[in-house]
Amino acid sequence: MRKQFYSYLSELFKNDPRISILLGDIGVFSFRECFQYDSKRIYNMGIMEQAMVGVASGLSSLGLIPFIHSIAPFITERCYEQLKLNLGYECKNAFVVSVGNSYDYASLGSTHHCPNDLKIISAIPNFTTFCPGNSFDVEEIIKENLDKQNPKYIRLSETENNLRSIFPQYADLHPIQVEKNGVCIVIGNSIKDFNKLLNYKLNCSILYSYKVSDFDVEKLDKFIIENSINKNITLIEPCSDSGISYKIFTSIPNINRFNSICFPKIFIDKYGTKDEIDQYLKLDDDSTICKLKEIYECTN
Amino acid sequence: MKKRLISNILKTSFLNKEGHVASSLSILDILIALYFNHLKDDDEFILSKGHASLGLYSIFLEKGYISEDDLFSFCQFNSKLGGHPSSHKLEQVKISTGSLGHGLPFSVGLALGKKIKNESGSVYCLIGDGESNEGSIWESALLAGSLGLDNLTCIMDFNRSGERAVKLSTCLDKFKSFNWEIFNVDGHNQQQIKSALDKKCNLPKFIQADTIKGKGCLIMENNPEWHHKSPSSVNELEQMLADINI
Repeated sequence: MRKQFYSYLSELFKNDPRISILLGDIGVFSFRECFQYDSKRIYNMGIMEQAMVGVASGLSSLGLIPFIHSIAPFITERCYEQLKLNLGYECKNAFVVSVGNSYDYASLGSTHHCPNDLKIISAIPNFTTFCPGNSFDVEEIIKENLDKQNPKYIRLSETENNLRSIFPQYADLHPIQVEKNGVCIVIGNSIKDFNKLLNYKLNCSILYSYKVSDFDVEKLDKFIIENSINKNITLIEPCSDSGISYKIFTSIPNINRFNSICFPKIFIDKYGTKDEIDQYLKLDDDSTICKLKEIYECTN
Repeated sequence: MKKRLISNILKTSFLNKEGHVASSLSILDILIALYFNHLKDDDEFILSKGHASLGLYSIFLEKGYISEDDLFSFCQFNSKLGGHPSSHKLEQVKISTGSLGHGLPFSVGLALGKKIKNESGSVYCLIGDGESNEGSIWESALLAGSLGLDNLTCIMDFNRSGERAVKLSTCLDKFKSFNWEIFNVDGHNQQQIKSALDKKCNLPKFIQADTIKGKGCLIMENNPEWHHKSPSSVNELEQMLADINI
């Protein structure tokens, strides 16, 4: 996802003189063509995240579209007030693109984990937040939001789901599977292997979205009503609760049961790989599918 | 004019029981130099120490950007003029400040954006010595020096507020080491301020303006009690107006 993002943004940079790129000392080599193409619009700002957000706001004031890019905890939690005031309150057209979520950098320890990014950025008015599950999602998000006059947060991950290889033209919250016993909503890359998920023939409908702050709860409600689905709802997120559950609770009446599968409120004191942490937290595909089977009872 | 500006600041603060009067007075000479002797149409000014907003608003009244009614509505529910300036309320305010340490990074972005777009004009940012406790000031100073932004001027209102916490005998050496051209002026001497503003530089420019907090109002000068306090009675206001010392 990250490599494709670099490649896509590099092309965009060459074709659109409004694009500027500010790097928090990552991706410098990957954007080398941009540095060669127009070094006036791309800068390695070092690890000065607070200043970088302010600079982005200034650039945006002059009609440029800045992309600021760094590791998740540093470009969200460390400079949160700058994001809130310089981009959120000022409502600037800018993209904040992070990598290393939630514990992609498992081996580096808790200082480099960031499961709360979507929750805290979604809490800032005017920000639109996204949790892409694959590189197709990333391109779509940038294309659709480039000219929108507000700040955007895109959470890149080191892992991708395979949704677009199964459904290349997937549209937001389009049903992947329709069953009456409930509905399971997958956000971003919280499920990596959709073939595995579908093979279990769970007795519930399955929907997918990468939208967080703009999660389309009305579309979800309409789908439930039109298909007479039992309001046994499960939300699977690759982060801590991002706020989507609140939207569902407050917008969909008479929910029978609500299940949340997401990152727990803990610091992880393990290292290893992301897969190992997934298994430790029981957030790997197999564990998640097991929980879904318990909730919905398998039909096969 | 200066006496009128001070008078308006005091009256506005008295009427609405709000405002950082002493800081507004310490920056007044700098604002006069900028707004009446230096800024051009394509220049931008950012008041990073937003709590000194009454100083800025009194200048805006003098320039005709706002009315006297606007000024005297300071901090009221439907006022355009809050305790800190908001970009949502006044077109002359490019970024909302108040939380300290935000104006200079934004100014670096504006100056860099002007370079990217080959736009004329310079960016002027007024910060405080107390504000420079914020790390974002030093991040920005480092960036601007590294980028060689010769269209950026940072003026520090060195009224020694920061010494309540940290003693900074000067910031000149610090900015110089970050690749800025440095100037030290008496922040209440129009000629010195103008001379420093007019100097052409090939690097970002830092002007340390040594000022007196509460300047022009005898009871307030260098009196920390007045950091965030308004004249409390008509008698006190009248005494302060009578004592205006310029």
